[in-house]
Amino acid sequence: MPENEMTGNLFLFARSEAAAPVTEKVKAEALLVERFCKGDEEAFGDLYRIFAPLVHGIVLARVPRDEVQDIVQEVFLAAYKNLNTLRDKNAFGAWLSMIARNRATEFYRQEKPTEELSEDVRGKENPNTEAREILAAIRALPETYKETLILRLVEGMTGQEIAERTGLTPESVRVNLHRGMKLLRQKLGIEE
Amino acid sequence: MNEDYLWNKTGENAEIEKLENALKVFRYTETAPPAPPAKVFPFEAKTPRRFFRFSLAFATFAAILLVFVGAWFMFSNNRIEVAKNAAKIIAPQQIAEMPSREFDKKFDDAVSVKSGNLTITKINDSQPTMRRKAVKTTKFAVVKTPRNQTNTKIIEAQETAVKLTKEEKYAYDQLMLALSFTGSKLKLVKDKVEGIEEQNAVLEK
Repeated sequence: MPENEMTGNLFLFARSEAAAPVTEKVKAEALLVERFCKGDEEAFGDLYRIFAPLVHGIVLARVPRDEVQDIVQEVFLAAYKNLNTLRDKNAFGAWLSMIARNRATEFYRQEKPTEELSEDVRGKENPNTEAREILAAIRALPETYKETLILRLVEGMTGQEIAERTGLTPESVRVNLHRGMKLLRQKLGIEE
Repeated sequence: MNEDYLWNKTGENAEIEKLENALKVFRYTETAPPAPPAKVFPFEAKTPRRFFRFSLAFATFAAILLVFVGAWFMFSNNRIEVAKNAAKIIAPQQIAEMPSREFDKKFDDAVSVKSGNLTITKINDSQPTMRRKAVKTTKFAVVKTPRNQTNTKIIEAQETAVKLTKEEKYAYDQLMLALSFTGSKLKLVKDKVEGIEEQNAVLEK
């Protein structure tokens, strides 16, 4: 579909909503949310495909890797049940991010005490050792930086995509990326 | 260093590319979306169950009704039994044996209530010997008889009272007068009726 045609459709949609101003930009995910609320179950599958990397990155920044996939599923299940309560359909990404952060926090509340395996048990020849060290260094960064950096370096999203999906402003994302990267370099001992 | 690569992946930045390649192992691998929860259909109660519930309620009600009716019959039978003994308390022979003043005093303490077919006579006897005597016979006398029978008793009493002296006759009249006050003391009747079971136990002893 050509871009100008798509924009026209979006404005038509905006006019049909009495409360929404005509000039408000309607995101693609808002249309999917709208479809889902009208009973189209497939729309939720599309939302999942678009936002699963975002949720995965947010959860990965906070909980052990083994638990990430389960929590991602829980987040989408919670979204499935409560999507009708979402007022601003454009804010789906921000809303989903908040659910993911809350679920990650809940994980530590319910967590049973576990002990991490030592290097000897795990094996030193693990090919992911370096990756794990980098990930651990990112996780040690402040909240705002580690989430943005993981979405950028692990999930491979651009700054613009991160801003659109999380609901943050592009400027905030840019600042978080640069400051986070600077801190990560210091932690990893990389000289600029 | 090309910082644009960090923002929009344009240009080159070996350091960030190296980090990206290292961390690629943790990247999200596409999986199927979670299965939506199954819809729950409300359980519909079957008609037999509803019928059973109604029949159970009806049976319970019938059983309670039966118990009440049975209790009422037993209660009324007891009252008839007591009524048979009532004549012993107010029998003219007993009155005749009692000195007139003493009887007056006792009778002033007596509480007599009459309401329709139901008559209760209680003697508040402060004298130990008299009380014992009363207890041995019947302290409470509940009489529930048709009007005709009550009249018959009164007539029988009057017939026996023919042999009484003046004092005894006076006492007997006082007793009759007291019995006539019963209509105005309906509330007292209820209180006494509640104590009937207790009195029955005494009677049985």
